[in-house]
Amino acid sequence: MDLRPRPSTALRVLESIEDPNASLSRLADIISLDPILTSRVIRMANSPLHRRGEDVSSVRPALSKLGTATVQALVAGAALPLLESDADLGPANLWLHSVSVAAAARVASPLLGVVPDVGFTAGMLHDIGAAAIYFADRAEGVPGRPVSPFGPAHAGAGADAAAAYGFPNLLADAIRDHHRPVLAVGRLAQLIILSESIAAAAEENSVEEPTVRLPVLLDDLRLSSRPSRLIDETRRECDRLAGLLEVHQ
Amino acid sequence: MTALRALAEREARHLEQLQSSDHGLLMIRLVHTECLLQLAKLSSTELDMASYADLVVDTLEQFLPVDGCRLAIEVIDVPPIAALRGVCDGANSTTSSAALVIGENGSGQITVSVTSPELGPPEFVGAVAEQISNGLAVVAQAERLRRQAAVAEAGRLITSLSDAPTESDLQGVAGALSYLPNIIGVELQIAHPVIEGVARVSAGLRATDPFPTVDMDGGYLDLAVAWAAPPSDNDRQTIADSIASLAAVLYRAQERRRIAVEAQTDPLTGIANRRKAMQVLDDVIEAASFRNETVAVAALDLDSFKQVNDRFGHPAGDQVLMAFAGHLQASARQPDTVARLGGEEFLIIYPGLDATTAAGLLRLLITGTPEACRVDGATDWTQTVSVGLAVYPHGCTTPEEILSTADAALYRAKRAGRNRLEISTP
Repeated sequence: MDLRPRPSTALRVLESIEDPNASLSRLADIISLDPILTSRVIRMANSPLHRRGEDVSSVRPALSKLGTATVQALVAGAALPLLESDADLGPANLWLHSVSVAAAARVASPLLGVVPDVGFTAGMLHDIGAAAIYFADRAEGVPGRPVSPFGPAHAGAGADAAAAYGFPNLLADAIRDHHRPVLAVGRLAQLIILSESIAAAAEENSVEEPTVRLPVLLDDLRLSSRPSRLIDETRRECDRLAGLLEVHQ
Repeated sequence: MTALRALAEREARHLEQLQSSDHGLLMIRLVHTECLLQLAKLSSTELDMASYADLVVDTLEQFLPVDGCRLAIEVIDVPPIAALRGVCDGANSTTSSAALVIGENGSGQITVSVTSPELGPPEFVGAVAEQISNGLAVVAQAERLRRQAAVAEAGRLITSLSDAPTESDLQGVAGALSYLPNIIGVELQIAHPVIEGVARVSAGLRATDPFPTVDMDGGYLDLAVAWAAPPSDNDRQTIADSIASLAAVLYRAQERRRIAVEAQTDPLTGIANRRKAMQVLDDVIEAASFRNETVAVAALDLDSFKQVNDRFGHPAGDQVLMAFAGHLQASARQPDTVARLGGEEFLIIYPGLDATTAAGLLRLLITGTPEACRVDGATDWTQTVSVGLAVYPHGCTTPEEILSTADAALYRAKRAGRNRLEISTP
């Protein structure tokens, strides 16, 4: 699978090479904002060469396993296709959607007892199947038959990609289940379903229609949080994340 | 949210920035360096060929994501690593290549080539191919050593087996043989275990296509070996030889056991013969002297047996002998030994019994004899038996003394009118 990262994230990582103050945790903040780079570092940290101890399900532990130099090269390698003159950035709105769901997941993680970084990663990767479908269609070049990357197949395609990448089952299951009934799935998938609803409420132009309204969802999950508080905190988290990515001119 | 959206909308400008020549060159340099470092890391003696190949492909995929970049590893006749073909792109590339000769048994050659239409100078592609080739050399060498060690160990264990292997000997061989499949993909099954231990050798192993079959004379042992991956001729020969000698050892062990059993059995009645009886008596007396116990020994002789042969013929005589042997076995306790010393003379050894108890058993035996020895064709004949009893250590301490004492008592029983028991008194 040939997925492209965001040019802005790639640029920020390349900047970090020449920045003497660049720290591993700052690098992790930047990389965790890109679904493609996130999936690459998690994949490599779980590959047989680096596999030691527990599964890696979020960016920060992956980076401490791999080291700065390897991660920078990994990002550069992933970004190489962007140097082509007809570089394609992937499905419209995928990134904005992924970041806002990830932000909502970080806010809502404590409600469901999920580690916030793992919740954030799952939010960032939950629609990775959409990118897979998009680039597969583009590579096959089927004319006149546009397939919606966010159609019914994307959850399954995402789970397939997660399995092929050697992601921990925890992540793969959440990706597969994030459009199933909320009471029939695991904690992490519940968090994604909830976060999609929060993100949709915080942002009118969501690519996915929330199937269940936020208050009903909170009620189903027996959570007493006020919807408005979750929405406000998610908006603030989104602004903070945008600040991380401001490329120095 | 607005800040994020604004950022998303500026991506096109970031793309332009990224495509400026400086960044592009920096990225390619980074990827080249790290790719070579990661490949160099893969030269581990702990890796086997298949996982090495997986890791190489994985590393290249992660660092060289450009379409059209691919790895071709061509393996020519190196059986243990034929698995590599599975991950190879068979395309014949001339872009850059490195050849590696595995050697030793003339067993082949590996060609590594990397094709990369867009990614950097040919020197880099050449360096990648060389790095992979280096790693292959290390892994192949380690794998060959492991394989040789395993084959040699199995061979050593098998050839060092004595003609009478113990259970733990066989378990050692089983362990060595069962380790072989991991190394060279051999599967082994012993189809018709004759000796108990052999069943353990075959435990946990599964057969596919049989090869080679070692068929011992008379079909005692049938060994089948199947190869998951084609082994080198040398390995094939070593293992076939090892298994053939294992079969030979087991066959000899089986023969020795058979001959030993035959040498101790009376062919007509199937009970112990004189040789076996004397062995048992030696052992029992030694144990009894050690434990301060008594041993009762009875000498038995069928009364007027010559008349049976004379009046009814030898087949009838043989029937009487067999019937009497059966009668002795039926009346014996588990630790007792009954034997035919020759002709119509028999012996019973009762470890741990004193005169009174043995006499009780023997009187029952005497009473039951006419009924037990009734045979077809000699209906009007009543077979009786005379018995002399000696008890160690009362008046006799060596096996010879015991036998002569029992014989003397038997003689007194005959003189006293037969069909009775006489007990020797010290």
